[in-house]
Amino acid sequence: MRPLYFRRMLCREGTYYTLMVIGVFLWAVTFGANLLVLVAGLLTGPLLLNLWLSKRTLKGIEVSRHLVGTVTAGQAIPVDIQVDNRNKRSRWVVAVQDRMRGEWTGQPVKELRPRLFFASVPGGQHRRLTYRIMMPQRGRYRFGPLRISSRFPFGLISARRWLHDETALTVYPRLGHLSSAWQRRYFPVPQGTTGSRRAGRAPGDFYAVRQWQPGDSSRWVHWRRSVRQGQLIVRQFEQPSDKRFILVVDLWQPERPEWEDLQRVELIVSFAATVVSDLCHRPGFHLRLTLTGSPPQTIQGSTNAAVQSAALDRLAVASATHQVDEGAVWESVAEEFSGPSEIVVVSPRAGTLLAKNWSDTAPAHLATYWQIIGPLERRFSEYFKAG
Amino acid sequence: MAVLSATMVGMGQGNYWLPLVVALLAGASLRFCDRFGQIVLDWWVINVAVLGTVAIAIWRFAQVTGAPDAAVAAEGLIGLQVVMMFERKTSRTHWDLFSLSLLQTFLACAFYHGPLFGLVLATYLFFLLVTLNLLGIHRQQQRSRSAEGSHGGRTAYEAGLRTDWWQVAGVAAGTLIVGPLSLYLRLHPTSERHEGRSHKPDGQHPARLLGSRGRSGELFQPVLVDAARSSCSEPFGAEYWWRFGRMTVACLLIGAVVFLTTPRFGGVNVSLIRGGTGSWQSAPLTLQRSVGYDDQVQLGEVGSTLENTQKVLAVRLRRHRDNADVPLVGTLFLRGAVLNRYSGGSWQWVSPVDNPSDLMLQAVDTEFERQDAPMELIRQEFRVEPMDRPDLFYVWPSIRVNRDVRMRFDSDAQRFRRVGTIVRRAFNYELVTAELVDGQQAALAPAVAPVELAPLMEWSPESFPALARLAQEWMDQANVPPSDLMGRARALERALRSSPRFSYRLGEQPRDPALDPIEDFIVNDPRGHCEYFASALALMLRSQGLPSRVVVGFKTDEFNQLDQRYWARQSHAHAWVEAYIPAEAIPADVHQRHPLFDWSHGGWLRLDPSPSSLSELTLAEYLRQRWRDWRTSMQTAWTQHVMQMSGTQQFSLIYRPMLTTVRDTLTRMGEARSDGQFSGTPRQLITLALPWIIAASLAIVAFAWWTFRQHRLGKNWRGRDRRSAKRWWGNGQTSHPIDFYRRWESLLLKRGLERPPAQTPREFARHAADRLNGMAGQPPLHESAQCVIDAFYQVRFGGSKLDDRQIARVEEALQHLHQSTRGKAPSRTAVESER
Repeated sequence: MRPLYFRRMLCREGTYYTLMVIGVFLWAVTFGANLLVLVAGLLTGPLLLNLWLSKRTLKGIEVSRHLVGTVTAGQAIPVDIQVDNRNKRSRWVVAVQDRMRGEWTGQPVKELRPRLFFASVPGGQHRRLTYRIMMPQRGRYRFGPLRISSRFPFGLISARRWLHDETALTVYPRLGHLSSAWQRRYFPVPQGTTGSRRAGRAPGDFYAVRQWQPGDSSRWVHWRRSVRQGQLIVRQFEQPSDKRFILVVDLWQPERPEWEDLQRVELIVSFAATVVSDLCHRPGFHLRLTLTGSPPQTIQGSTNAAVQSAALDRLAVASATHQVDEGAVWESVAEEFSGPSEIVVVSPRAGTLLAKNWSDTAPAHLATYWQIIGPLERRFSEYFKAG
Repeated sequence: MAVLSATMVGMGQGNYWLPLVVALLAGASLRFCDRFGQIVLDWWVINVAVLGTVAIAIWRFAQVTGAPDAAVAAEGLIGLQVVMMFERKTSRTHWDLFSLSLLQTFLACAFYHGPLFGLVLATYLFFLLVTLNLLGIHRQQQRSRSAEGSHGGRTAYEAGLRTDWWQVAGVAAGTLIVGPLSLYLRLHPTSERHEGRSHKPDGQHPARLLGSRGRSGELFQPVLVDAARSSCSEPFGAEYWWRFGRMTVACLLIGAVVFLTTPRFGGVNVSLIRGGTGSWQSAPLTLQRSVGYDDQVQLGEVGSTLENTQKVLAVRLRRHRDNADVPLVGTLFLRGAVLNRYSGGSWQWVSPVDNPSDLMLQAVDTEFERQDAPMELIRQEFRVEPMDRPDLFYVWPSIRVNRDVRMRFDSDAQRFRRVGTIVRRAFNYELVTAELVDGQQAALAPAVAPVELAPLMEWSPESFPALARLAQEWMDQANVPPSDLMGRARALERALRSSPRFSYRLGEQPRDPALDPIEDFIVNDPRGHCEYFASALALMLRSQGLPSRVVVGFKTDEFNQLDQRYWARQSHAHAWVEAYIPAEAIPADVHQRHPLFDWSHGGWLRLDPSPSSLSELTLAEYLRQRWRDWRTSMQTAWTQHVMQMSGTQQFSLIYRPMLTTVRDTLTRMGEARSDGQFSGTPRQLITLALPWIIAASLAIVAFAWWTFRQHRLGKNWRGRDRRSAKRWWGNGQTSHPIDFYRRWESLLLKRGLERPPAQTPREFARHAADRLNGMAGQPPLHESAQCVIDAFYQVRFGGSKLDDRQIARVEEALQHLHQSTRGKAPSRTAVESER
């Protein structure tokens, strides 16, 4: 881990201590008090030793951060900080300060600087401590750089080293619960699991590899890659699908949004994320997720973990705007539309006059396939409960 | 720390009880306050204690006069510290106790201390280091305990310590009233927020986020839920304590260097030093009282000092020519004063009518170059402790060297004295003598000037009938020829010393007032100390026609092996006799011996009639003697090099030896060239230059190693950068089978195109080509993209290698892409597809 830079500084206690030693020294020299000179000389030792040892403590110390890969809003995520002592002798009083800031978040977030204190790290060993952060808001966050410091041994002088270790974390939107009404409405018949193909057989073309996930067949394991990477790697195959589901997320908010407007946006994002997650656990579907924007963003593919990941990734950083080109969205949907599909437009404007824009711009041939729902409608709360 | 600082204060005052009381109270506070919380004082009690301390100190200062004010202040601080021990412990309390302990140590330095203080100070230093470490760990723990990690980057703990201007105003007002102790006032109760306790956030955020109204933005903030803390039980193992022991030693060395090199301006200021009254004081700074050096000495004066073991002086004997130490066998007699007239129990010095002062001065002030000095000359290096008189002590006869203007020979009083301005403090001086022959002090010394015999013969036969009879009786028994004056004198000496009738006793005996004390000593009570024996012998010699006088000084055989010095204490004060031997009675071989003075004026025969208490040392006595030597050396070193360190001493101890060494080395090198012994042979050259060669080689090696290390460190970083770059950008050659594909991806990334996980490489390549082709001024890329992707699939999934032609095509395609990516990149979005 590449250090950024290094710095030593007097702490507050060190400043008082130094002033005291200087005062005693001057008094002793002025009045020729030999014992005081001796005491002042003895008190100088801790300052010099601290100056040297504080820097030496940080040598041979490596710090690493371990984060979970993904997390959804509302979860408390553990962050492990591990300190490795490459030296033969113990190192004491090592403090590690991390830094977490929002790289992209809906609302501005304050910076967090968690501190961890390692009283002792024996030579050749490591110590690991964990701190947990509650992430209430979706978005992309960045951890780092790490700062390790030590005031060993006397707490008078602090040596600090900044390490270039930044980790990005994407916090997915909060997931809620889809009710049975939703299931009945959009998924009346179980899809794609019986009679269509044998379990374990991957019908599609192999196009990539990914990490093994629960549910993957052992036949899909790419053994050579797994041995090389030390973890199970499976092949990815394209999955032919029978049913298409189009979800359009209307990221709209007034030009000067109120608190309720922001909440509604979050609610629809959470709903969209929940729908995507639910759908991606159902094989045999083709999902198209379109987010309004300029230009509109679309993620589509057969429902699988990769599509889910891509969709949630996009939803995590989705931002609302007061200008939405409904026509452009309908055009992109119409282009890809082929046959019976469910088209759901989730909009914070649903149930208001503003939602009329959607119906006004919708292509005629899609009229029977799409519907708009939103937090202001009763059925929204029938379909979805926030997490 | 509290106990040790109280110990140092107690040592200064000679107070045994102070550290014991503090130790007991400290133990009580640990048990009743810290552990069980049964006795916990409130903050206002501390304030009352601070105010009370100031009030009591002011009252005591006003009451006492001339007493050490440092003691009053130290006791006040101890009282305040004891009160704080029973306060509920916070960081502030710990730091206050620490600072009070330090203040007491500073005040303890106002007292005069012995080497035991140094030992206690070293122990105190160890605990000071440990305390600083523990306080530092405590503070670090508090800082990390704070769960909220942001107040603009500061923790709640730090936020709680923001400047409270009311507090500052309170301290300022308090300072006007109670002085600096106002810093210890508690202006408001200690609150948990200052301790940075863990702040448990509201964990109901998820439900509130979407379901209820709240201050905008507040509930969106990430919150640090908790942070684990490392257990502190690990550090306190053997390695920890061992490390602090080494740090203590390092601090002691640093302290010693600072102490020795700190400039001193002028002499030692004794006004800060207070004498203690307890027996803990190893050497209270009171001036040594000298006896026997007044113009009139009463019998018993010398005896009064014989039970006092305080050090008076130390002398080191070296050969003047080559500085070699001279081992001595037997005792050393150091003259102080001579007394020649006895009357009614007192001796006095009467100056001769014809005072050959000029001759005496000339004799004792002869100077010569050391290299010309005869081998028999012995230099006496004295250090005398502060005394109340200017008299100096020496082996008689001695002469001055180096024209030391600080001392002079008083020919009237026949004494060496130091000038008046340097009385009352320690004094170093040197004299040279030839009286130490073959490891012994010669009993016969030349008279350096003509001797007037009349005062040396005065005695009153009617006052000493018994004495005269006894002297005659002994002389008859000795049967020594009358011409053998030395033999006759020695016979009387032996008789008096070995007579079973006479015994040595310290302390005064009651004497018959009708008789002279010496007559009474002979007749009634033959017990007394050296003055009586010397007086008796002197008068006996005079009764037998031998001129004699009494000499008062020091007789010592206490040789310290560690510092190679003879030590003289008050208890070594002694009186002996010198009998005058005319020149014609001195043996011929003695005449040849002396290099400084001649025997033409006769000589003085030293006679010591006091019974000796010498006996063979038992093991216990031997060990006691060794312990005494060691303790004496420690005390001397402490007194000389710590308590009384001055600028002069610094120069002589540190800088002069350095300068002398350098100068001598250079001189020797120059002499080797100029005195003809240097003939320029290779061996001589190498010998001469060897130290310089070694020093230069070491310097070059050190510099080379340092340079190599710097270069290696830089190379590591540069090498790492190079490897990173190489891995990232490649060097035009495909070193890994699919490196070309990674380069392809990185080039696209520069253009803001990134393959999403859900998209196949072929799809992505098509999409990227569409994107790039859609930009103005960009050449078509479909073919290039197709070429790269086909090659990738062949290698990655087909398991086959590329031939040279394929490699060339791939490189060409990558170059094509590289050129096309040199234009302005669009905004970076990971968009999979668009309209």
